[in-house]
Amino acid sequence: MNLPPRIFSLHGSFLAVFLGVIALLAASRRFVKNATAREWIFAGSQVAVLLLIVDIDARGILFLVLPLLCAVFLLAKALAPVPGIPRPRGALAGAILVPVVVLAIVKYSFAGTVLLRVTGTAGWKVAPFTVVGLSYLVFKAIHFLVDVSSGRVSAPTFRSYLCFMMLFPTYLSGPMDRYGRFRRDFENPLPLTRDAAAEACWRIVLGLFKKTVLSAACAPFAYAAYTTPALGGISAGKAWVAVYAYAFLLYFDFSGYSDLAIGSARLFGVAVPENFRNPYLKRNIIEFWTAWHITLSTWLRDYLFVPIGKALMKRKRRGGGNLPVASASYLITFAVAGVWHGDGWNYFAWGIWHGVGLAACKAYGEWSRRLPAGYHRFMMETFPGRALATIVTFHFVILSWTLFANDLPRAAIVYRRLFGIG
Amino acid sequence: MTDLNAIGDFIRTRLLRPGSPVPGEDDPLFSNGRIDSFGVLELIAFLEEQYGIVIDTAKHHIMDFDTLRKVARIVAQEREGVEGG
Repeated sequence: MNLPPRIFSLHGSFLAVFLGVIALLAASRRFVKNATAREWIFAGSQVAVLLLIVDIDARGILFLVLPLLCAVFLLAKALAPVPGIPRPRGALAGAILVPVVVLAIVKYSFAGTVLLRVTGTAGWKVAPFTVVGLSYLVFKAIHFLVDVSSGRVSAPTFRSYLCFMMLFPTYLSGPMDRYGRFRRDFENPLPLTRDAAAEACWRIVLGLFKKTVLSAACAPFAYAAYTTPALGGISAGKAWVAVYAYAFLLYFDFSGYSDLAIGSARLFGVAVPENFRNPYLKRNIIEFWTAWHITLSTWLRDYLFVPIGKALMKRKRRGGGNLPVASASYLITFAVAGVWHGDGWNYFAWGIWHGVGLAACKAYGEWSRRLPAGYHRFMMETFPGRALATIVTFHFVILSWTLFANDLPRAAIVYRRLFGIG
Repeated sequence: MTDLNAIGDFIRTRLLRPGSPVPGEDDPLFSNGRIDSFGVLELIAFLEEQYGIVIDTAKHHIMDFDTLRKVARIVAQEREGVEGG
């Protein structure tokens, strides 16, 4: 069973260091007059915490993450627009390939297999250490490369970029900030007033409560079915309980993590964007993806969906319908989102599930335009209509999590049990 | 001058749900969920065809298309670029 990634160990020494970093940043802002020095203290403190305190393999950061980040920064600087000098064709795509290939080699077994065939080295292993947080870093790196090369971000500094990439509360699982927005807070940190500190601490407490109480309360019910070795023996009722329990386990764990990250970053003077807005109450799957893991879904929208949709629109024959373009854009975007989440066909299937759902939602939207206005009023403005839409959307989403929690054969068994097939 | 009525009419008839009123110049369209991401792409395709411009989505953020006034500003900028050569 796949559970969300663990957060940093919340032991006493971590708490001491965390408070120490807050004190260090506050002191540097008060006593260090040189802005560059202050910013290096900020960036350095984040890297130091990741290297020394957080429960992750520091070798992965030292020998892979930091060199990769340096390479991406240099590439971005080289791609920055210069008036009168056109950029070589394919340069941006080539630069994006660098972090993507590194991620593929480290994260995906197929890449290891390909390299094994190419190099002929038996037992080839990419790195003798674990690298965590790379998926997020690579998406942030792509955003950085695209925005610097388009001129949307100008004159980035290495210290702000380093801090943006390595801000430790968001390092493992987001929320994924944008460099332009982050830089404003980095260079002019938000003042830590009494109200702001109280709100930040409240978010941390709320996050801890969601993770350690609510999510943990759901876990036994999800475990009861999903960790049963002979899954075929479970009853339909137990399978449904597992589906509901896993849905809330995932939500409380992940949104709790986001609360922790948002509250912690705020204590450093950074307003990390929100990541969840009542996703299970949305009325269709398009709305759901504006409310679940918002910083990922907006990344997918800006750096995959829009470019893909725009390119397909251009190729579309004049007069052709837009629905095939929308469907292809959703499918490709969410296939990538699925693969990004993990190494396994179940993640790909999860992405396709959502891609198909989004395409179907779009098709339904087009088709329903011909229905009378009374139908739209019922669905949009009455409680039964809205409740019906929410219930359908909720179940569409939570059934997809089965693919997240189980490999394909086990997921197939769960679906058969859920619907009494076989 | 950009024809706000033509853009507003396209948004109302093609992108908003049936029966929706014509959006005001500063009414949010995308940020409040009245049109979705693909709706913005449809709007961009319409603007490109209607005004003979090319809108580079790497330069413009999707939120730049959030209101009729913002859309008109982008169209005006791009047309200036086209006319200015």
